[in-house]
Amino acid sequence: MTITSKSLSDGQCEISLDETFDFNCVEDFRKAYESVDQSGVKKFIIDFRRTHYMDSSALGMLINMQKFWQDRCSDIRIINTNPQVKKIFAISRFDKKFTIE
Amino acid sequence: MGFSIKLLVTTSLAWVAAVIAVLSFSTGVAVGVVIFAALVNLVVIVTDSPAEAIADESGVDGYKALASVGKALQQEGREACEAMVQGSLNIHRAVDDSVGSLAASFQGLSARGQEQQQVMHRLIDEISGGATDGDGERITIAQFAQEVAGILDDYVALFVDVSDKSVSAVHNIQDMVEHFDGMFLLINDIRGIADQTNLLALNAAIEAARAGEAGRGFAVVADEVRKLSQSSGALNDQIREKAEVAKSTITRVEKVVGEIASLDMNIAIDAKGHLDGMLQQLESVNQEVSRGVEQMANASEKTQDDVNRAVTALQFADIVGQEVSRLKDQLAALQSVFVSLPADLTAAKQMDESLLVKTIREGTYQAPTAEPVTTGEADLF
Repeated sequence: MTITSKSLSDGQCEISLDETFDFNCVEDFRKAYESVDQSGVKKFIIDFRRTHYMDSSALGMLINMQKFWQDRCSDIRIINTNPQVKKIFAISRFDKKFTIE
Repeated sequence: MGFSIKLLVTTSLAWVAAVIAVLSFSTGVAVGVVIFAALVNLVVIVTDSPAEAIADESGVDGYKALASVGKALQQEGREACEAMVQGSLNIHRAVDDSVGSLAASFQGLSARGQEQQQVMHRLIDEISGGATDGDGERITIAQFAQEVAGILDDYVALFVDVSDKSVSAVHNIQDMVEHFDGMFLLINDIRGIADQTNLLALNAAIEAARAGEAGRGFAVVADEVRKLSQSSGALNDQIREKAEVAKSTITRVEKVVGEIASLDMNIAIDAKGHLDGMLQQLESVNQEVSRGVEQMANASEKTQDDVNRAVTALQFADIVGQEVSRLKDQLAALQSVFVSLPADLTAAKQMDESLLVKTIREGTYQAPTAEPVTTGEADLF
């Protein structure tokens, strides 16, 4: 289980998730977004390319991330979601809180 | 000539019989008209024939024959007229009765049709949710679907909220565990200090022993310090034990919170899918029913139109009644003619023939001018 974060140019930070994004990832995911340079980052990109399963704690983690960054960076984009994951975001109305692609 | 008149009269009597037959079978007015005209012709022919001419050719026998024919004609004609009058009355009554019961039937049909139409319209309104009649809100399928979807949304929002708070709690627990780990380091430090104090006390005891009698008091102090360091170590162990229990408890809490936070969202997706499917089905059933009811309402309206047309058509009864009544009047006129025919030769001589002819001619059939109602809303009888 690996969640990696890397800073790109223009203050962007990309977090790549593992195959499953569930409660076991809480610590890693938190580290991934809390450990980045807080002054430089302007935009987060969360890559779901490898992720085929997530549960409701994933939603909790994303909201916690948003709360953590809300004063400094409100732009969080979720990319490469598979249809099932996209459905979960739609049902939970996350498409209103995040940019989902 | 006498023979030909006889033949003429006999033929006329046959016609009278035909009139009775025809009218007793309740056939059309036209047949009656033809017969009536024939009778008029007969009387006109008989009266137009000069009696002197007949007397010249046939003498007394001729008069007798003529009188006998006249008598028979008078008798049969009167009876035929009576029968025809009766027949026309029967026709009138039969038509009136039938039309009456037909009208009542149509009235019933119309009332039932209107009732049906009202029920249909109410159903349509109810299904489409177009009407409320003041006794509270009506829930349509669409509203129901919206409500259920709203409830599901609320549930999902609740999941998300629970997850959000759980994850937040887990973060705090993890922070706490980190603090515990820091505490364990401190406890280790305290442990080291106690061990060092113990060692120091041991050294002090050795130095006190070397000092001999002078160091005896110091040896007591060193012993006490050593005891203190030992109990401090024991206390330290107890604190570590308790802290470890607390840490493992908090880790268990983290696990429980994790279980609360981790709901399989596929259940919600499936539920939503099922719900959408069911609502779609309900909606299509609803539309089907709506269409059906509307068709029924249309059919009912058409039935109503048909009934109205039938009721309009029933006005033929009026025309028939008028016709029959006219026919009856004419027959009565004819009958009066037959009654007033002279009984014998003397009377015949005194008779005013032109009056007879006038009576019959005035009774000549005239077609009524009334026209049946064909348009507009027909009132029931």
